[in-house]
Amino acid sequence: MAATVPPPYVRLGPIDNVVVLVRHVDSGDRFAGLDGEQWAMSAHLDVGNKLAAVPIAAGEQVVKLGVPIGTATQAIKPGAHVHSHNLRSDYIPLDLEEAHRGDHRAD
Amino acid sequence: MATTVPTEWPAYLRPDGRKGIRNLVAVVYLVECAHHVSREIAAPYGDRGVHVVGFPGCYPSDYAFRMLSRLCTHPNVGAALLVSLGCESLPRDDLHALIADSGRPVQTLVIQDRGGTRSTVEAGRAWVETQLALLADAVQTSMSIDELTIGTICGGSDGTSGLTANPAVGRAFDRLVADGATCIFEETVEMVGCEDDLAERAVTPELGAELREAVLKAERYSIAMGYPSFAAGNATGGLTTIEEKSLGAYSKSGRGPIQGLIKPGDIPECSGLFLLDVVPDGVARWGFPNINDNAEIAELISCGAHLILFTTGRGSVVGSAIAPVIKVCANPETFERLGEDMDVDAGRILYGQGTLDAVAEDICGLIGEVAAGRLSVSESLGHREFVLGYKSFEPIGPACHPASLAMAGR
Repeated sequence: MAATVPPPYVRLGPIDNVVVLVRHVDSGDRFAGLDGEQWAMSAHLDVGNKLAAVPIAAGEQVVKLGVPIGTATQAIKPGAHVHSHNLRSDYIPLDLEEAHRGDHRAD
Repeated sequence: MATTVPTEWPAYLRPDGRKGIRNLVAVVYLVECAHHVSREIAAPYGDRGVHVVGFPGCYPSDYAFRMLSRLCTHPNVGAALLVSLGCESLPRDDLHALIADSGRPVQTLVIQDRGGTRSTVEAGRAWVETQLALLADAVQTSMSIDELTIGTICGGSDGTSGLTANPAVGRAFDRLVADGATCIFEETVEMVGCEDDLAERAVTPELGAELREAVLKAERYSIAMGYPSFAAGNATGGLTTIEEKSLGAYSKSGRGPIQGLIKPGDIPECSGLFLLDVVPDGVARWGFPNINDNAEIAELISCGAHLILFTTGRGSVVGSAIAPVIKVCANPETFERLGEDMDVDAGRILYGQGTLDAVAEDICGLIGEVAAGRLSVSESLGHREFVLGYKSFEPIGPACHPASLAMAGR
């Protein structure tokens, strides 16, 4: 039954090594990946987040819409979330942990 | 390609020849100390086109003076009331004279000379009542797309912004420019990584060099501030790096040639596509170049924008004083949650329920309706946000606006 639901992601360009979520996913969701394997989600991710489409090596550029958007800081498996924990800007490094802490008041 | 924007609609002719799509009274506080009095003056006229703008600072600022000058003589404004505490630095007599020279009714009330809060509020309301009656009888004329200036900004961006709303606005811009409109995009801080493409689109190589330098300036300024233009919500929405955000933000500009680089308060002298540089010149000393989206919206309006296309992924609800804001929602799940604040559902593209061209068509159609007087959603909800801080700019150089040079040489 679940197989009839279209996958929750799209690949935006032919040379992209990430896909983008067009629906949110939740922890435990499983769906067919681009590599033919089942991709299992381990966290809630909002629409617009990225998953690796293929294996990405540490030091490799991450490509979205045919354009590099930064460099992988560690090896990333297909279907894994690609974000600030494994992707770094090639222009202005950004400490997102700090940005997130700014969300919460000290009290 | 033809747009669905009507060819002509009724508008307000100003003495300087420009035409407005709204007929507003601006109530202007010249320092924060006059803000409450200004708000009280405007309070009874919530839905009658009385908008409060102003500058909180007490120290001199050429930038703030220029911004207020442009906003008080904006084509959407028919009359201006200046509210001064009395001891602030902003040269109120110069501002008053400049507005009077534009042919608009103007009045200055100095709280320290008027007997205080209550007396000034009474005097202000009496003047506003008179102006509203006069503006109601204003003669309307017809306005066409080649007399319209449209600005664009994105706020609360997420991973969907660059896929749906931003490129749809880009396609709308391409159509509007083809029809003779003036379109302004900005956010050089979010063009980091796009500078080569930007430079190639310039109408002259000299302008290309200026555009490239503007992006490098934005990058230097961001590094000095310790943050690029990036909020926590951008990250939750799937954006990881500034170049990724840039890629999406830049697509709002469409694919057309870039006619010039302008700074806040510069009014383009020809139609076409312009980049507005809002990053201050010189050493980084004024803090963040854009403390929030409304700072940039006010700057777009100071360049003559009659209305603003605002794309959002996470879901901003703001509007603006002086010019209507049209909200284009990029994220379909945000639209489901916050649809009551949105004008255009661009996120439907992700569900396979529309194309970029179809959304661009919706945007162009709505621009025509809002220009003709229909209230945008944020306008109808009473959103009239406004913010203005300290900045400083050098005047643009001759390479920045090739067409204005050509006109000067005629």
